[in-house]
Amino acid sequence: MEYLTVAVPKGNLFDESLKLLEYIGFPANQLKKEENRKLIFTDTRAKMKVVVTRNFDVPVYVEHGAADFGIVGKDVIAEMKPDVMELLDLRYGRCTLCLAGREKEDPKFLNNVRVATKYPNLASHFLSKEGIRARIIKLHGNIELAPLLGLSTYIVDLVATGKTLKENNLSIIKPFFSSSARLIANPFSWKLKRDSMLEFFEKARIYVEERSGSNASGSHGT
Amino acid sequence: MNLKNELSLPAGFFDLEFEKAAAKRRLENHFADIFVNKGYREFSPSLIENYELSDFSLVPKNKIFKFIDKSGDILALRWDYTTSLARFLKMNSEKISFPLKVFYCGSVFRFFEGSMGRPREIIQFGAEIIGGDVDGEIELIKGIFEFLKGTGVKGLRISVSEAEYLKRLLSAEHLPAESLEKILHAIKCKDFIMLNELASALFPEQREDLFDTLLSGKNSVDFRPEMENFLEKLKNSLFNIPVDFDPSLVLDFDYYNGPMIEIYDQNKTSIGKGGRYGFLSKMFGIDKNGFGIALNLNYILGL
Repeated sequence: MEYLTVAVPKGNLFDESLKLLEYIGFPANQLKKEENRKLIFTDTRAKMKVVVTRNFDVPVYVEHGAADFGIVGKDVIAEMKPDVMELLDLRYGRCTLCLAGREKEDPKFLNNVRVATKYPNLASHFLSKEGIRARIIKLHGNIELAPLLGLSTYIVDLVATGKTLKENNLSIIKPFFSSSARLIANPFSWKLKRDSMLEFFEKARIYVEERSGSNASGSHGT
Repeated sequence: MNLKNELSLPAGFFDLEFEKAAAKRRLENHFADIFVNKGYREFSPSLIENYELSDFSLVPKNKIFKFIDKSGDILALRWDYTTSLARFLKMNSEKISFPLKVFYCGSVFRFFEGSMGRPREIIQFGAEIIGGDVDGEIELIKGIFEFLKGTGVKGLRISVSEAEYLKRLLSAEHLPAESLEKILHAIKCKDFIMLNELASALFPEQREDLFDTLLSGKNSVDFRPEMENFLEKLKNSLFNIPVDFDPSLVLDFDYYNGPMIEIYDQNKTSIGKGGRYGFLSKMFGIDKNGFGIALNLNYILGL
């Protein structure tokens, strides 16, 4: 049987994704070592390669066929619209994309509103639906900094517990998109490696069902 | 705009420098030789079309590059060849005799967000036969594979499907049009999570068959005899190329009305796609079926 390559995101989905890989048969201990700077991990027995990438890079690897499977948040899929198969809701990493800020005023009645976000497409769709005229500023991380330093009036970002917002004196104005981790696949890989990919998918499906009976939690927002 | 931006190309476009341009020229000549020998004639439509023509195309309107000329007309950069050919046939229907066999080599332009590394200029080589029969269609596919063999692309494979296969599988005549549309949209987006929810609610009995067909490649309902005939001839003509079944290839039933194929390779890249279309009759009043395949030369040229 041929090797399967799985792209796993760094960050908040990482630990839960390792548990899934362990269940499927990939010994994930080698990925847990903090000093480890390797980005590709191979297991000859499980016939799997695991690559660790940035969250937003997972769909790119999968769409171009560099990875057969990927694990990524629904928020990233909705933002990037990759041409991939979206197979399974893994039911961890639950969080919500929210408009947040320091201003209590309704942004509809403000002029020159600037919104900082990692999600320009989803944010722009939401803002125009809400009738808010805003300029979107694309950032790559630590979005909460933007209103603190006057770069933007509001932010659109993922919120799980709300702790980070609170610590930075920001509050949720409106939640608008729910997300959780998804298993995605390259459609041509699916044709070329159908048997081994079906087996992986079936194990992942059973894992999700078993866990949803107990406690499927974990979040990938802050 | 700073100097750096002025001197760069927008994302998704490319220059063909020296060797690449020579390679494209060689491939064009090779493609033309094959199809001229099969009695095809070259078709080179204008690069600019009226934007309204996109009403007759499967390419989504938000993927078309459009602009306004000085008189206020909305124009568009060519987004595919088939729609331009249909427009040409409608304009010249009295002068044309069928079957009409044409080939083309050139660029089409589609808008994609820049971050996924998708090209916005796609070099397409393709061939179309209008008013032909199954043997003509197989001959066209053979020409396409003769060309591909000469390009050195390894591990070629074909996926096939048939228009309305999914409609039969879903017993679509019993489904409200709106529900069918939602299901087809989920299949088009390859969103199996949404599809599972819809199928469980709308047709729980056929849910398993649908998933077996889409994921396991199981043939849950039979092909029509005409499709069986096409498939047998295809396999006999290309005996060493693996053929698999992918019902999700045809989701636009107003456009396609027969066999559909997609050519891909071991690097998981779609190299070409096409099939039999009936939209000429439905949308242009030309009572002929067409069959065409367009190849993506960006991949072959390594762009």
